[in-house]
Amino acid sequence: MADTDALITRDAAEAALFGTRDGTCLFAPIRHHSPACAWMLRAMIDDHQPELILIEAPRDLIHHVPFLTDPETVAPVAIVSLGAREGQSTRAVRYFPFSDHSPELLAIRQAAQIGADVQFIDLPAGRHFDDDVKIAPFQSEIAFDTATFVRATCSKLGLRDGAELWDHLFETRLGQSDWRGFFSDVYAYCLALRETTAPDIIVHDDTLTREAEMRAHIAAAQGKRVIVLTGGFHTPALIQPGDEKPAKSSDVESYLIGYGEEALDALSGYGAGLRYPGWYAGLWQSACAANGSPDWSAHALETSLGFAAQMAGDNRRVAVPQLVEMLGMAEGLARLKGREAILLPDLFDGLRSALIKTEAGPGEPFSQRLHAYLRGTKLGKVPKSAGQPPIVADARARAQTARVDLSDSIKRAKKLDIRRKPTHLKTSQFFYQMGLLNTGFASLETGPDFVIGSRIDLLFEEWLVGWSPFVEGALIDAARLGATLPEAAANHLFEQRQALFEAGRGNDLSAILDLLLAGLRAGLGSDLTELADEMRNSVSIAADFDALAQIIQKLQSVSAPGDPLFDENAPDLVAILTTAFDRMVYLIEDLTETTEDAMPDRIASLGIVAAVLRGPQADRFDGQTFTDALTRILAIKDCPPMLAGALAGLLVRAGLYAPETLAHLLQGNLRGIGSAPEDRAALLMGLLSVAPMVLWQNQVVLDSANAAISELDEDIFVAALPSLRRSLTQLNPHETDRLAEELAALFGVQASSISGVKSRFTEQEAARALAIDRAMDDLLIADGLTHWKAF
Amino acid sequence: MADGENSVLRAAAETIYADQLAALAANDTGPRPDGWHLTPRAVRRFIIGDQTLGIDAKFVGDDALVDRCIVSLMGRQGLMLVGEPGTAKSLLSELLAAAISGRSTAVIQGSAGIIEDHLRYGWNYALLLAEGPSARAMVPSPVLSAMQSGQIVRVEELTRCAPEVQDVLISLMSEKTITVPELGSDYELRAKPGFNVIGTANLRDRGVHDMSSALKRRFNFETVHPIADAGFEKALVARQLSERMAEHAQAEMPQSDVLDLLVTVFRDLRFGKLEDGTTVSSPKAVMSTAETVNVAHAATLDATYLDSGAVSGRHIARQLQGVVFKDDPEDARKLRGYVDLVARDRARKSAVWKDFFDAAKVGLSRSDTDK
Repeated sequence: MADTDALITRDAAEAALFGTRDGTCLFAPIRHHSPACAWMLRAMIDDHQPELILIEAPRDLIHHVPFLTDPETVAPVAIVSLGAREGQSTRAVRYFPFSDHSPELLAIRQAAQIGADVQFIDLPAGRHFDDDVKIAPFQSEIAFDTATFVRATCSKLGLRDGAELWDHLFETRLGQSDWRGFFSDVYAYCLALRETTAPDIIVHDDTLTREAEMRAHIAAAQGKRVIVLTGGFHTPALIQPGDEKPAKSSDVESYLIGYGEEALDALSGYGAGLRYPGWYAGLWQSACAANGSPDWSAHALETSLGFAAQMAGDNRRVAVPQLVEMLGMAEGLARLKGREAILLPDLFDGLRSALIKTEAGPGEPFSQRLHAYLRGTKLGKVPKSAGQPPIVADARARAQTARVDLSDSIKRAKKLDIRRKPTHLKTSQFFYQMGLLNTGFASLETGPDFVIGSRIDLLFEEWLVGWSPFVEGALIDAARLGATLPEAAANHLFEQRQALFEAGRGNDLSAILDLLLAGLRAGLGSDLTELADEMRNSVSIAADFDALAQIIQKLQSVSAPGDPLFDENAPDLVAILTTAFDRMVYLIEDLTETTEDAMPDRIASLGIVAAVLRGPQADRFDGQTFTDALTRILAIKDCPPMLAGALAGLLVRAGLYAPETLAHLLQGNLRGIGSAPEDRAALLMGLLSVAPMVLWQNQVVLDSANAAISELDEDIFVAALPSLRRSLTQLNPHETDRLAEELAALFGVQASSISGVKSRFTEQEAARALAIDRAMDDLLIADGLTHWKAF
Repeated sequence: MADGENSVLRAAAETIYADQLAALAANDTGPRPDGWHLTPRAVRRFIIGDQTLGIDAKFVGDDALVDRCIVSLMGRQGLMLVGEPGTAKSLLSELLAAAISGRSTAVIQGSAGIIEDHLRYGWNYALLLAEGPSARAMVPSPVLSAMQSGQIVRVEELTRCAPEVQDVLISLMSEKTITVPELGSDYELRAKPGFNVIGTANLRDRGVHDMSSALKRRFNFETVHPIADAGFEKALVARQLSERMAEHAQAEMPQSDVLDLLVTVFRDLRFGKLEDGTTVSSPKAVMSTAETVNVAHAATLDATYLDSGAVSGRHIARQLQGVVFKDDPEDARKLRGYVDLVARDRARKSAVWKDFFDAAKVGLSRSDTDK
């Protein structure tokens, strides 16, 4: 719109807001969380002394109102409502936040003081869950940033964006007393917003249905002294009476929870109020303390000093002259824009000019920290009587036991000595339980991962831990799973197990093993009986050789006292172990049928089980059956050479097979008359993958291998070389070294003389020679003499 | 434009915009810092533009930056403009000086050859020999003259001066005083209100010196970024081009689609990214807006005098190689990659791009055979 001046006059705005219905019903157009609106509203309530205050909030959340005025309640708090449950997916969660400077909360508190009724008049919360949004605020204020009118006015006044414009026009009036003038101006502003907002945004947002609902409630309050408190964007649509009927109420699960400044701001992405709640909370307190306009300069000074103190805490001291310059800049910028009040953009710009002494851009340490500082980290509290699902109280109590600070939302590092301190192990289990429920409460930064088996040599776990409203939201969502945290976490595991069945992966042993280990890691051993029984059943019919080996390896270590996952209350893991072992022995018979591609994996699994049998507590297995099975298939005529090498190696190690026979086998395979070159090394490959030490522990094996290779015809040797080399890559550096020593002894040379051969050239000389070579090439190409390159 | 101005290639900002400055001064009420010719808000209007007074925008894209610069200059800190080459740092500093002091010609053009005397004072040696040291024999530097008249002095490319020369500014900026020991132990020249320093510097180029942190503390730093908005950049190029072509009345200005092509090529190569996010390799050569104007200028001259008719894609292609890709052979390769991949694709859909693509191919193959 080109000329917004003609849209409405202040008199007309006053008449619209305060002049209908014989002046009994006043409309207060507000912006959510705006301190100035809250301030003016207080004056309005004082003057008008309403019997009833109607508030734009979901109707079915009204029962939380008494708790909002409870003296134990500390803002910010939020009403959280949960969407309908559909299967096992996480439910949609919506938050309706209140801060001390929310006009809504102020109205509720004032109403309690003067004995007025409060009524919520928006659509029931249950009606809000039509879309796929999982976490969303109820109040959308997108128009405050996007309307064409906002952009045009910004460029006219030399302001940056909608946020600055709102602050410049309205928040600067915090502490003044002319509420009629103020709300008339807000009304005119919002009217212009509405006129210049694209209609599809209004429709998309469900705005029209909600406004019809609100009109119906306003009509129902006819005759009383009323104040109608809604977002200014809606006010223009509410003043004219309508004849709509209220929508049917729906039943919605909702709770009052402590909310946080950080979350209040996090939601501002879609505009639930103002950004930087910490800053506005400070302004509100200044105004309350002054009982009038806050001292803007003093507030800016205090903010800067607080910021500097926090920076000093981070070892980034801000020098006093720079701080003075920052404030001076902020004040100068405010004056340049024609206002007394120092607002947020002024502070940010002051910081940018005064503190950043190089090119501004990503990586400078100041802006992000000022953002975080102004956002604030305060967490609110609700009285116990407000009624939380028991799981929230349970988790809070456990967090307190684990010495987690619940008064703010800062994430702090926590280091746990899980192997030596039982209390630390308990804390770790608590963190993992919270992790199972996806609360976002604690994240493991470094530490052993026993489920996937990575870095299990680490002694300590380092976590990043912080309570937040979203943790509570997730817990409330999980409340259906149990009254205590362990119960809910265990039930969550069963749900996942169920999901495996439904996905047709009911016998996926690796996935089940992961669940079991995750449960043990979270200290849920006593709840895992059912899972363990199911697992045992799956194991007894399993066909996945490698998964069985994994189970044997992992459960063997877990079932040893002293292991961090050991749990004396856990179900009988040994039963699973022995079942898995028996099943594996049974499956060994099929190994000769294995395809060539899968063979290395199978051999590795054999190696794993053999290692378990050599380890502690191997007596719980009947090792004899294992070696018998190995012997049996080794004796089969067409046992594939790679498998034969591995079997023979394992058996030689166990002292059940004569090294001479192995030497014989090896020699035969290496000579391999008529066999393809890559097959000649197959047996060696199998041997080296599970039992390389056989080569140097049994001279006869090494000798015969050496003899066989020496005898090879030069051409055949060269053809077989790649596969021979590949077989040797299985050795680790120590083993390679060891083998080299043995071979050197065999040839009567010093091992050191092999590795110590000095090149005649230094590295630099070689590099130079290469460079010259390339340059020569270029010259030859340039001169058209490429055919010389052959020489 | 008056006739007298045509006798120089480029007049100072206060001369070019004399009428605008006068119009602003005529309507200028409100508090004004000591020594300033205009109020801070009028300075802002002069640079950002004000349609009601018929003042065009001279620096676009970052109004908040202009605000910060103006407020910085009201305080005791100097103003240091940093950023990539060709982001109109000097233009901004000239506009600020012209609006605040009514004079933008107190300038030191930083280079390795600058010595301390250029920042403090020198001597008229004939007088010095004849009379001995006297105030009359002193030759003030631009800094000293700006101090004495309470004006803004501009130090261009400060980081190209040797560190010991930069150091002169340190005490000068904190004391706002220059002592002249030759004229007596107490002889000092003190700055009048309105004096301040605007520096420009390039922190990334090779061949520049670091700034000491003592000096950095005396400046507020402002980073001037390349123009973010393609539309703004196009308008700016068009305006600067028409200024440059003012004396070539017969020249035909490039059509909108040709300017689009030019600005797009420069932006693609500057940011190393196409509009759709595809990455292209960015050449080492400076792909600034200033260079864009240079290419537009050269292409228009080419079309007007060496070819017949309007500027087209082929003129852009021809000038691009000469004006921008001056020495680094790697850059030629990157341009070839851009032409082969991006321009070829666009040539299928647009006649201007096809013209550009064909000429660029010819030009690139010629430069290959030259080697």
